[in-house]
Amino acid sequence: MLDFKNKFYILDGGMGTMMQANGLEPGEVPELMSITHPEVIRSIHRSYVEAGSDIIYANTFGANTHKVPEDCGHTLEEIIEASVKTAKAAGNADTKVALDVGPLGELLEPMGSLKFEEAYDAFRRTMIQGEKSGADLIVIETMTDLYEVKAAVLAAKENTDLPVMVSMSFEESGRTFTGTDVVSMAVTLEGLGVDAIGINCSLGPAEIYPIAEKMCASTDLPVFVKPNAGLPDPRTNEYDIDAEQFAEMMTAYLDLGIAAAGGCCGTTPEYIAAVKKAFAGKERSGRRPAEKKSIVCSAVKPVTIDHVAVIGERINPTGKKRLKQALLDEDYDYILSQAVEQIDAGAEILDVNVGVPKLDDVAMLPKVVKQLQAITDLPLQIDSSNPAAIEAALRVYNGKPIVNSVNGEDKVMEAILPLVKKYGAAVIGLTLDENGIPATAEERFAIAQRIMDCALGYGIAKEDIYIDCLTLTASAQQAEVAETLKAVRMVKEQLGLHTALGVSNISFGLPCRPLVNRTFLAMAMENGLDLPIINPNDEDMMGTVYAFEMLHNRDKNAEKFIERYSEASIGTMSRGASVKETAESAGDLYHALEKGMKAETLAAVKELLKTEDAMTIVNNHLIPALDRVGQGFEKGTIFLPQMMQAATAAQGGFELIKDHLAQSGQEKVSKGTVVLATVKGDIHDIGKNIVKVIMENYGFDIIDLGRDVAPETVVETVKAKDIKLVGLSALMTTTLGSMEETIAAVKAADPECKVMVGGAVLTADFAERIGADFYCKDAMKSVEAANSVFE
Amino acid sequence: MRIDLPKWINRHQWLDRLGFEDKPDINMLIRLAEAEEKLFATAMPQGVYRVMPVEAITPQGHNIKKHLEECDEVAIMAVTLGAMVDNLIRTSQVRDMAEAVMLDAGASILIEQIADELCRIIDKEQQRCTTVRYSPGYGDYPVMMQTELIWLTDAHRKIGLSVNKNYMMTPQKSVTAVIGMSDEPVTGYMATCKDCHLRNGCEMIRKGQHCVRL
Repeated sequence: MLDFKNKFYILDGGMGTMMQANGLEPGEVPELMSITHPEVIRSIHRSYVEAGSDIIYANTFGANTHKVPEDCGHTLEEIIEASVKTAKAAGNADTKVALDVGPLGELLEPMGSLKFEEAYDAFRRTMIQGEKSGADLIVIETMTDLYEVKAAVLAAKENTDLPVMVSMSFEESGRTFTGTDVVSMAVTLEGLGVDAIGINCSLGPAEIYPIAEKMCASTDLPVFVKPNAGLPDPRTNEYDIDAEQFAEMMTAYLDLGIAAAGGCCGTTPEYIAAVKKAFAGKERSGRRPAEKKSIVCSAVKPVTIDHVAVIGERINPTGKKRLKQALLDEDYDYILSQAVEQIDAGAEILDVNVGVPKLDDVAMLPKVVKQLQAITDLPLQIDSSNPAAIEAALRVYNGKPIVNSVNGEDKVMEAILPLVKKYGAAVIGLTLDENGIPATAEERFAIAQRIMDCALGYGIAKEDIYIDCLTLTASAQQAEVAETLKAVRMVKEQLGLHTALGVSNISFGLPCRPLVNRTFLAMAMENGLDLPIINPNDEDMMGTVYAFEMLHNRDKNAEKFIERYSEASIGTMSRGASVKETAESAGDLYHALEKGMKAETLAAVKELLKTEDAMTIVNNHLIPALDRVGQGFEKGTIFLPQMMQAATAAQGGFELIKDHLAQSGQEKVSKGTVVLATVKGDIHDIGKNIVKVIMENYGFDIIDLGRDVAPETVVETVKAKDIKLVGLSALMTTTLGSMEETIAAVKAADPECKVMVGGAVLTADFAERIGADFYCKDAMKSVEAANSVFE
Repeated sequence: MRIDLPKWINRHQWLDRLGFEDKPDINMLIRLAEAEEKLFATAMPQGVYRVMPVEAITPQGHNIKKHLEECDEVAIMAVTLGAMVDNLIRTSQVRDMAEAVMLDAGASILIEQIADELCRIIDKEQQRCTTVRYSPGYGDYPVMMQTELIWLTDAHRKIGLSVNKNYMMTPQKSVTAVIGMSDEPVTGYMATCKDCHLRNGCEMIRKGQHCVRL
């Protein structure tokens, strides 16, 4: 349909500018003009066709359910139909008409409140009608959020058969407003199978050039550009580059081997005609093929597998009671804390596994993925054997993840590899099949080869296939350790694939496991291991990786190694100065808490645990210390950041106590369960989170429903968990209505349930008026309120 | 357009916002310096403005009318620190709530400083007498007017600023405002506490202060 190999396409220029010049009023829905003034739209299109545009964008940029008001007198479908038809009527026989798809105008989660699934549904309606109305292709453009692009691309590919082109708007920094870089965009969209990618709007031709150059080097997909005519004047809104200058600057792009070009804001048919003329007779270079690289990415961070990259293995509940419980309770704070630790320790990719018996992983895996990608820019590895859970997670992942894993069994490959291809992921293949793990390296190699051939058959690129040759336990199968290493080398050298390996199994049942682990890790890396799946909090292991990279001269000038270990004392592996564990008395505990010294607080609690019962420490030391801090806060001698420091330090102490109780099989004592939520429509949740931290310190269990929470969700939770106290927060005057509504709903469902409220714009009077039981002007007041409810 | 970061985030206002008034301890100042470094490394301050006849905006409420009384034109402006700052604050809430509180307050001060900078740019480029800036949500100029200002400046496309159904802006650390312009010196009119719908329970009133900076 589009023949980028043999044909260069001239695109059209600015639409908005032309419509404003032709009578579009401020506040009007531009797409409605296709119905109210089709002749105007038609003549704009016609003038682009006459100027030389081969592809014109229909007047559907904002034709979506979020931008077209329902009461505008026409359905979305009517508007799209009129827009596409008008464009078709303006074109020549060979003019292609694109369904133009712009942003929904609202930011997606986690930056905004729009859910990925809602965005998909909105785009879906537009895409279906676009194809029905006869569009020849779909252009998704002026995007700044890769997540929104993904929703749009899936909506296009799952509901139509049209080719899809995508362009995003970059700043001079080479990133979009939401932080996406060119490489992450290219590898993600190449994976999702779009037909061409490009850059439009925001900058002029000169500023876009280096970004386009990078894009061309990052992908073999056709690349297209639609720059602005420079910068607009704030008074006249006229752009500062004229048609001739624009065309002159655009000719530079021919050397990059781009596939299509046009203009965006400020460009008119005159500009397109000038480009057409300037390009005529000029030789267009062929594209240099992009370097073949293995890259995975989040929306803002690509990781190239050209060095040993550590995959953090800690978010996996196997053998971890606490994480298991956290997954069952949807205690995301704990799960995220496991991620943060690994990030700080130097993991480059995080494995995510939610395999707990009876837990619905199809629902849970995407939830955890969403939570993780809200707080980290590391790429994720989706770890499951359930194809449905893998697909659910792949769908909502923002970027290009790794799927862990397939193996040599046909039915496993048939179920999972098509998903890997569809969502553009990389995949780990385990060298085992229905007969188990073969003993010899040659047999494992054979499975690896089978997996590779099968993946290639599904259209998965060779660079995206990683092989795990499987570590066996040295204590049980000592002779086969060498087989694993040999298999790694064979896969690396003969198949040219990257390799992954879980490492710590090797030492099971042996003394001095860390020594065995790090020795095996070094051996495996020397045999070609690229992606060790390890616990990055284990400094022995990380140090081995850093030393290995340095000794292989990949860590140039030992820069990273020195940065990490320059402060380590001789003969030890700890990074930086070690914490003095000298705090011995409860007096120290208060001092440490008040000063917010986490390490010292931990040391003090540890010390106390030697002599005192866990609950005594809570009641006689931690809580009184916190009370003193709280009193200081009330008196104005301690301020919010200091109180939060103290609370965070105390949190560490409480974690220690919880672990201690869990180990000794005791239940921790809860003072009561409180539901916290930021009300519907409100996305400012820092206040609520402050309250949560403080209340947890005081022994309350918190069910945190998050932000933008519908009244029904609060009510459901209250009923399901028999909740006695709900805390609601709202920051804006515009969301106080939601707060009132939520209180009414809670009271209707359970008149006994108390509600406390807080937030910047609230007052005690107002709180009373909307039916709240407590007005809490700060976090300490919510502790008081909760104490009075649970007394 | 990209707007330059200031040399530092106003410490007096920052401490004030965190409740310190004028008695910070040295540890707090060190932590603020660390927070400032993170904010500066993350912020991508962007701004956009348009000059239009005063009739271009809907004059909702008495205050804005009074503010623009002597003016024939308005500069409509929008600034943002960018989505990455929201990410930073969100992530810090998992790592370290105390830091999150500092970052959140610091970013709120910083965006006002960025807005100040855009005002200076407008003065320099337009060479007209101007009022101070007036933002939706202030006095009786409804917060809903944010949508109009974003539309008029094309801020979604130009600086990545959008507004949701409840008139909340994303990225969160963003400001929209209207500046009156005239050939004669104008002061504009800032709403007083009696116009303010937040006067009940206002911490500043309680302390005998007000938030207007004239």
